[in-house]
Amino acid sequence: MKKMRIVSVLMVLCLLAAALVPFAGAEEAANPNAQREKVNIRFSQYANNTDDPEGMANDPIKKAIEEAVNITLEYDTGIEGYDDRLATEVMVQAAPDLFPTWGSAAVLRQYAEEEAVYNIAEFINADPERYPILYKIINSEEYKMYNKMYTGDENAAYAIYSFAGRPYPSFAGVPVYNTAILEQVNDGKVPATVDEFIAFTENAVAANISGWWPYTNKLTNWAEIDNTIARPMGTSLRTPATWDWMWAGFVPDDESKIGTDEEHWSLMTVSDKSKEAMALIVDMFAKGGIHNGVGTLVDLDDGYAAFNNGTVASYGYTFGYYTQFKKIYDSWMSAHPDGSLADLTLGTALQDANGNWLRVYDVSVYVGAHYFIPTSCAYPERVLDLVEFLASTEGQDLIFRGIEGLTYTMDGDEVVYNIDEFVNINKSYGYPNPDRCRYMWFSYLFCSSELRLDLENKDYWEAVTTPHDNTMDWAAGEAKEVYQHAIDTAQSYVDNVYMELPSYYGLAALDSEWADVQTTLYEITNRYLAQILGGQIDLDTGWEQYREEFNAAGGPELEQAVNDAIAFARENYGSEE
Amino acid sequence: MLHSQPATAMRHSMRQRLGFNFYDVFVVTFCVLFALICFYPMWYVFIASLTPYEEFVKGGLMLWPTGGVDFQYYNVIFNNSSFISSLWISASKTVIGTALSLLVTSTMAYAVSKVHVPGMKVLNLLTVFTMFFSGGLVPTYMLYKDLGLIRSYWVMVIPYALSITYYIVMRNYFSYSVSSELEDAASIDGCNEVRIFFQIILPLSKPMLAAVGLFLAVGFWNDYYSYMMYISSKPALQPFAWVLRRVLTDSQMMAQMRSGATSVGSQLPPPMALRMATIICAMLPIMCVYPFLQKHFAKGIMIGAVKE
Repeated sequence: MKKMRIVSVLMVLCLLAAALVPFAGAEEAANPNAQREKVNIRFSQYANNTDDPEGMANDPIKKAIEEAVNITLEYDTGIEGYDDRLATEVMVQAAPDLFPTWGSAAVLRQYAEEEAVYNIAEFINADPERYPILYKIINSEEYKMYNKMYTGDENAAYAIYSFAGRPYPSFAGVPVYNTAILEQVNDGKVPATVDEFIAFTENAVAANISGWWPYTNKLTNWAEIDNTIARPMGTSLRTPATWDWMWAGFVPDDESKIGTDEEHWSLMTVSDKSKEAMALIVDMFAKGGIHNGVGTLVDLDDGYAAFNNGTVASYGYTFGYYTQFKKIYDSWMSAHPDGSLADLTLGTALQDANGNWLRVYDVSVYVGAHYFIPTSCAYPERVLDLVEFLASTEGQDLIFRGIEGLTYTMDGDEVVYNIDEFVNINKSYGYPNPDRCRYMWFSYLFCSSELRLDLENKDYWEAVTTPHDNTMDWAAGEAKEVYQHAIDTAQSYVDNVYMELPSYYGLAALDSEWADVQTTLYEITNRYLAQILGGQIDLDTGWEQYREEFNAAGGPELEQAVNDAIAFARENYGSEE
Repeated sequence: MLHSQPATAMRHSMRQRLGFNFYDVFVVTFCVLFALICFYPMWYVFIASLTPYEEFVKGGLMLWPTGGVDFQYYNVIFNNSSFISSLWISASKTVIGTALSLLVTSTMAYAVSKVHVPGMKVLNLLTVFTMFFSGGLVPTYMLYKDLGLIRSYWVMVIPYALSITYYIVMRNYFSYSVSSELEDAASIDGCNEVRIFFQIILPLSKPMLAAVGLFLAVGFWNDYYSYMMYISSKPALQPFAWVLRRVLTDSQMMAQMRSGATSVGSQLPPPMALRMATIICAMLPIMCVYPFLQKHFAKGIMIGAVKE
């Protein structure tokens, strides 16, 4: 009897164990990382904030990622000295386990040559079942094309390439007007041409109001001034910085030839046309048409304050993406709690006297950043587990939707966001503003315009080129109205302004030795333009001196090199069009 | 001579009658104006940190807070946990670092000042050599890493324990300004070198130690580079100078502070006013130390500069 009881108990236990096996297997299948070694991964990203340990400890998204990958995450960040520190840490084998650099081909090549970073393709191709999404990504034709461009070996991937793609075009050169001042000095007419805009600023000055604050970051960023005044005149004051498009400052000789072997771009920086444009700008500055605080005061603090208190009539609202219009709107509303959207008039891109529009030349996607795993990392496979998870739909949901039931809920197929909860999480990392609905970390990892990609279900390149911008999904009420207003206004003239270049332009790269030339030319341009604008150098006499110094520093040679690089990209990658 | 006498008499009489002449007026006016030019920027920062922002953005010359005195920005700062913890870090590393640096630098300077001891000249040469030729960032980083200092509090203290600049000052002082007869007398009375140094030499060197200590303290207080390069992303260890720098340059830090203001019941404060208040907070501790060391300062600053 006793034996029977023991046998029965054993049988019940065996049954229970057998019943649990499938569940255990299911759990393992659902989260294979649970069986893997638990490691600490230091992830680095530029410009966040880690000053709130309590908020970080309670961050539910961080916890969810840690749980899903069976790791602990350590966040690392910085602004000043960040690039230098990372470069030093890479050299001394103390770099974070996953870290970015700007999308510089030269840095990637250097790291690859020095074997400072892993060739992640080796790990991924060795175990496709472990990294199915990454396997798909790195074996896509486009990824291999970039591999080849960087190192000559299409099968060697030394980084995760973070492509920037945008659902809407972006361009600078469109002022926001104070509606009341526009009514007062211009009968409410929105300037449509450069001449009308200059006349508007003069009218404002006559009414003791400064005409325009172009965002220019201490006279080192000329894009706003360039796009508003010079580009509609068919020229450009800029010179291509190493981090900019290589054709910044260039104008195509004939747009219709772009994409053919007859295409040619001219560097306009020190041209006679640019001198004409600069003459207008200098005159505006001397008369007060451009606010005299530009270049010495702070754009987003003092510039906004001047615009808000009615001492400046129009403001060039930074880089020209529609979400940035809301920043100036928010600033206006904080200064005028009883104000409304009607107080601001979002202008239009300008034309010259002959009806030629400002032209913006852009590619649909480009590499904004590279994410590396350094060879000092003792567990690259586990870091790739993290990357694989973040590439999955579940990972992308965590970054761009957050936690279901907390930061969002599902209403059928529709995502209903709770932006307040998202802000609550992000404010631990120094971002308390309710103008973005995405996690502050990892959002650049696959898409440097911080948009959600469907990497799991779509072909890689299709996913990269069709990112999802959730702004209009989470925005509600007044915020949505402001965003929509900016989108609609831009749409009214974008076809006249925006020209998408063939995608091989995104693969055109200068040899690394040109970086010094670009840096020198950039410094020369900033120095001369700032001094000419401020009146320290006379335009008529100084321009020739500027041109001589610019040309002696390699301007014409750079023009040739850029055209050669574009031709090379067209011949080698143009077939992808 | 005859013509000059009345003029001299007039000058004398003016000074005698009023107690000053035009030259005195010019000198005093010039000095006062120059002092005002130096003082006003600091005063402006102070005023801006107390002025309600709607008044501040009106611009113009500000001599006094218009529209009332508003301490809300200081309230925001002292309710920010980063500020409080970073103040402690800065204060502790300044005290520990200064004390350690004074000890290490002065003991080494004293030892090397004894040029008759074999090897001291070579040691002196090797020490001074590092002032002109450093290893550079990467070797330094590797050394700190091997010493286990990276991402540790002590990386902000230990590497600065020996200050080469003040080592030279101290060595010269010990060599030329302290009478060797005192050391001989102490030695005859039975003191060994350690007692001579701590009981005879150091008490005599108070002015020099005060001046050097002040410079060292300012250096430790202002140092943010060691945190930025060798620690980073460990908020519990960030010094006040780093927080100050970030407030001035880092929009994320500013955003966090402004957000913190709303949680203590303030309006969203403008960045510029917060920057001004932060600058005042950063200046205050060192400004408070100066008056106490002033009496040693003028005396100490010249020490070691000339041979006696």
